[in-house]
Amino acid sequence: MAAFDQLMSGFAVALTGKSLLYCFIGCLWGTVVGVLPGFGPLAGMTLLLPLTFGLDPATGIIMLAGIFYGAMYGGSTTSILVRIPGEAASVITCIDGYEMARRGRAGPALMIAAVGSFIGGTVSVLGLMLVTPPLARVMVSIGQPVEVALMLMALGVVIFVSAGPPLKTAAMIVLGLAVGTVGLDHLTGVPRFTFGNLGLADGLSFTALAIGLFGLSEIFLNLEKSEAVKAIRPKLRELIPRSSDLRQSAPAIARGSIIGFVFGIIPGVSHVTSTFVSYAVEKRLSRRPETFGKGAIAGVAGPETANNAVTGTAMIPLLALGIPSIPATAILLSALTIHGVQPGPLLITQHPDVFWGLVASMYVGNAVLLILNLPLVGIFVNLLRIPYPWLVPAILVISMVGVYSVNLKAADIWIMVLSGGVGYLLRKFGYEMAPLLLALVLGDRLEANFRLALLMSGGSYATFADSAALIVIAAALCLVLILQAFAWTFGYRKSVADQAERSS
Amino acid sequence: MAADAKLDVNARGDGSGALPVPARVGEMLVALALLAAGGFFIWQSAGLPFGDLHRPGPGFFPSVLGSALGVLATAVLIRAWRGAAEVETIHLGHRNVLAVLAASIAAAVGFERLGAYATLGTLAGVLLLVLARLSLWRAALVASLGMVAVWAIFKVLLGVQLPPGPF
Repeated sequence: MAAFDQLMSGFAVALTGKSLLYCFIGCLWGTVVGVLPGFGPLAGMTLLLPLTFGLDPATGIIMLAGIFYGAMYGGSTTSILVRIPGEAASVITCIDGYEMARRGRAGPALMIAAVGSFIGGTVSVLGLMLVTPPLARVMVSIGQPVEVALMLMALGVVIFVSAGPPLKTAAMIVLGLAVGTVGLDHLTGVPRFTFGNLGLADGLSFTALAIGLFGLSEIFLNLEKSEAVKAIRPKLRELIPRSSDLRQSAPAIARGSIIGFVFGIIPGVSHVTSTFVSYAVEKRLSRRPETFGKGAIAGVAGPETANNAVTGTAMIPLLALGIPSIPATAILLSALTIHGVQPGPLLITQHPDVFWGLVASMYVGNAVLLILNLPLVGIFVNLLRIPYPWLVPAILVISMVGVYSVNLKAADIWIMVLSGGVGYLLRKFGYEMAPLLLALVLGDRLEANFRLALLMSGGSYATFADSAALIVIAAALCLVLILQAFAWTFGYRKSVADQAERSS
Repeated sequence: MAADAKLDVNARGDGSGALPVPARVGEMLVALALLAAGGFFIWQSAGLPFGDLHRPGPGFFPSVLGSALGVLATAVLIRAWRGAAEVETIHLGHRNVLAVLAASIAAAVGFERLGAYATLGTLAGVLLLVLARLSLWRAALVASLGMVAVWAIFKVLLGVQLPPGPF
């Protein structure tokens, strides 16, 4: 009952005119970046991150979360109509979604993808709402050693599940942690790598680095491609699915919701993994597996539901532990931190408006997206006609103003531009930026907790292997490994994920 | 998968000016850069209190991370040297990429000196000329309208004070 009351208080936050407006802006922008090939939730969130600084924390996070799950909706549109995944989690939808579109059934494919996304997203928020508060209560009592172990485990898992070569992924994680040490040492106040520059005392601007490494490098990579896009254009009246479509899709949507929610636990690329698993499960359970690849609607319904069902789960580690498991939630962590809100076990008690406002806004946002995506699909498809060179100046101007507005320092623009160039080169040679970003976000806390744990234990490393830490880590690791093994068994392959990641 | 064309980060457009670089050489250069970064962290943290293994000081983490980065970069270097690159060539120096990079650097230089609106307006105008191939007056018009939008959104709506510059 208490949870219900708190959810109602969350709706009181989420249903204010301001929250609704920014939720709508987030969902709309998320759909746009999901539709536009070469963008994704990450670039979309980093580009609008600075806009949240003038907002209160709850409204800011509501808008950013809207971009995150909005992109999952938008990604399916281009997969189905153009056979180009708008973002990584929609790669698998290209197979049957586009086949349906080629056969004149783009409308039902879009409709089922939107409905599945809505249901998956809603189930996921329900799970987030039910799991996070009790998990946070348990995690309040954990000490620094467990937190260090959890963070190391998350980063370790990323090395093995990431699309890039493990060696390069590990190098990016270490580089991210190292860059995170720039600035004042949190425990002693000793300046590190600041070269007497007071502007570096707080470290390198995360916003500038994130926009450079993801946004700007993405622009550079996209500028190298020149493709004419030919989209199949469905009419509004063609959206209505047949009753047989509904019969085939309903169980796929139900399974996709569960798969997405469960697989959201895997750090790194859960949004991609879950779609591959869902597709494989649907194919195996189908009475007519030969139709997969030839326009099977279950091949659209399952994965599109799964990638949206991930969004809520992916927020659980962030909101209950303060540990982002995927890059998109790292951006949310950064936004919350900038607003003076520390995600973690105490978030729900210290900032209930943020947590419950976010949960409630996700219900609202999913409904907004359903309404937004179906009638406006024609407009979103038209976005693909905008020549990319027209978008570049606009994105650059927004990024530069946004980066500057965080700290009012022109040096941050330099950091953005330089990290954009570095990110571009690294990505050209197969290095992933997501692990770097995750490490960058976690670096500070990892080091501070590591040293505090040693300090409090009198310098004994055994503190990292006490029973509580071991149980938590072993359980978490087993769960992740079982899920990953399950994903591999069902055909999830790194080579495919590699393509998917590069498209995100 | 049709996405392949889109996902080919090495795609070379006609007249793009991009030069093929042997992937192996490029891999080695990137690994050397990472090695240098690792060395930099070790070198710079040498002046910081290291503490010891049981009571790590401010220099401990950067030293360990610098060393780890060095080891990983060396492993990548050896792998590349042995010819284990995934592709044969990587195309670098695409004209549009260089144009945007140069324009962005110029904007970073001029942002405070010339003022945000003048700098960003020029940046947008130049990129519309170079990338979108608009005529001069259309590029100027679009860039000017863009700056009005920036002023309205950031200054009026969000209250962000951008450097006015000498103008």
